[in-house]
Amino acid sequence: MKGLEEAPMRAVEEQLRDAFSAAADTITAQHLPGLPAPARRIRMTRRWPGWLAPVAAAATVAGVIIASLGISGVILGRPAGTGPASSSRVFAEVPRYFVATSEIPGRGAVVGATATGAVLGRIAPPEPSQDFTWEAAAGDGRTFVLGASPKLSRGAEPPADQPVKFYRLVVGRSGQLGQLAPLPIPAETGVSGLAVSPDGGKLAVSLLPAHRQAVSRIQVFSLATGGQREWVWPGPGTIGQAATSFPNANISLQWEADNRTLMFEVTMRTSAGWASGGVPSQLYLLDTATSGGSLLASSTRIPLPDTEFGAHHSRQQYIFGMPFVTGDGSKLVALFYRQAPPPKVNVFTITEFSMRTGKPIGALYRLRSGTDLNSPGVWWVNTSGNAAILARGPVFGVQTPTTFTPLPPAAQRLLARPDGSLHLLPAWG
Amino acid sequence: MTVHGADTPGPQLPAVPRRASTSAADQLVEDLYRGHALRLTRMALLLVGDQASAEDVVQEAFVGLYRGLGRLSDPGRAAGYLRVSVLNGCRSVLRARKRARLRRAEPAVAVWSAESAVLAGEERRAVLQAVARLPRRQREVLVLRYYFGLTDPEIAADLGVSRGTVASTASRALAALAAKTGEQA
Repeated sequence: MKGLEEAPMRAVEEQLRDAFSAAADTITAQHLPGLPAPARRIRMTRRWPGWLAPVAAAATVAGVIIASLGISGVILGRPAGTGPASSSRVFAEVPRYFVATSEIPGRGAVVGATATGAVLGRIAPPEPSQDFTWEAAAGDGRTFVLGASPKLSRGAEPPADQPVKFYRLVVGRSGQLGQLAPLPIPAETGVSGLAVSPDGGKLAVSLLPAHRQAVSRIQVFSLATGGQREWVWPGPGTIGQAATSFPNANISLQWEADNRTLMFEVTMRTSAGWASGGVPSQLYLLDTATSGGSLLASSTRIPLPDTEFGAHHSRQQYIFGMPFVTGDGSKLVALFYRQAPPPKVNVFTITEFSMRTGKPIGALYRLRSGTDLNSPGVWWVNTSGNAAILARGPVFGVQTPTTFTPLPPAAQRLLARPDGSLHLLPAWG
Repeated sequence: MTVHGADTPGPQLPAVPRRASTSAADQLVEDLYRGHALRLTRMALLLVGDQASAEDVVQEAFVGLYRGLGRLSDPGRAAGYLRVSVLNGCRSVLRARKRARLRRAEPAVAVWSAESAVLAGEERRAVLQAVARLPRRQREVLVLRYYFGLTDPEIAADLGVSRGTVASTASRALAALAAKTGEQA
């Protein structure tokens, strides 16, 4: 305490002890979960992303999603295994290339080949942007859009409203990378979602309230002309807020194959906090052929009966991660999570729902585990919903109703670390 | 799928020539859990802000202890091992949240935030908020010293720094807090 008055320092020390003690006492022994099961010691291959830990831990009492939805029979009647499959045939079902960005500032983006894991190239964001923070892929699997932001100083908190500039990258048919080209659309602040239409002609951007804008918006730009339409959410809901707290955050907006219908997520929140008593997050389909205006008036809500979706849920059974809409618009593919007693017994089910009725119609994968370290994730789904790119813990692979074919080791190494945490955040078109 | 970085590994447990029996090992861990889990969870709460994350960090620390149990010769060192594992786990949570904020995700509600109703007293909130804004090492030193009650040499051993670094870090942290609380007074 050299150069400082001792009395004020003692006062600060007393304040610290008092504040620490008061905060610590908010946790009591009765609140603590049980001791983790010894069996967990052999399954340390993956952990929750840190910001999801509260979501997972909040579900301390089981809610039997599968039973409540009445889909147990569906799952049992249609097991998803890991049987042999021709990998070349399986990989033909998924996009040929992917683009991925790193969480480490300054690392740029990587374009890789799905079936081989070969790196086609690494792209540095152009000056003055220093970090790629968003990525999206078109349906041709070769056209990508990257969002770049100003460089963050070491250890700094990301500014609330950093502008994101958008660039297009096209991979040639033989795998050569084209030039990163700036798109004729303005830099945006408060970006919460990004999606390129399957034909590569349009870019949808969702925006949280920022600057003088008090509401969430979705803008759709023509990538050829920069022409823009805008829809505004009439109220305090936030678009993309829940999705961005999930691992597959880069797919919070999704186009159907018609290049017209866009799925987005709205989380209801008022100035007093998260909405209580109701379903906090909802999925909607926006008809982008409308002329703009009210998002609510131009959209249709996707039914999700008997369950909840979103990071802030009032129930203990919920959809975990951003669901996928199939290109034909017939199904929703969602990862369900529940925690069953004894504490920390985790059940994950990747389930297909009817978009029309909201009822479950099948399951691609189910995992019951004493640890959450092998939690799966959905990263891409094909047009009809019968092929998907999943992560089973640290292993990326192609999931069909009957087989799971891991991507080659080079791709695994490129995307994830042995403990299952990601090197890169990938996007497939 | 996660996007946060590989976590700082916990300290290596000392090697021993024989492995404890499973039942004895389980009993040891159960005893450690009963004896330390609450305090470690509270310490993690002070570093990460919310109870759910704190619980997860402590659970993972005990999982790590299970994994290294066969090499644990001195049960007296297990508590220190757990404490350092919890510190590392808290760092991982905070690192991952940076990415979440980059994506504009909604963070967990911190116990000291205005949205949290579990902590009484505006002054306490202000102090904890000021601590939360300090650099990571300063926060850790303050929590280990003023909540956990460790001595500076013990803190130095946990953080892998010199005793002098602990003292200077604590001094800077207290000075920063005094300035902030003085501004607010």
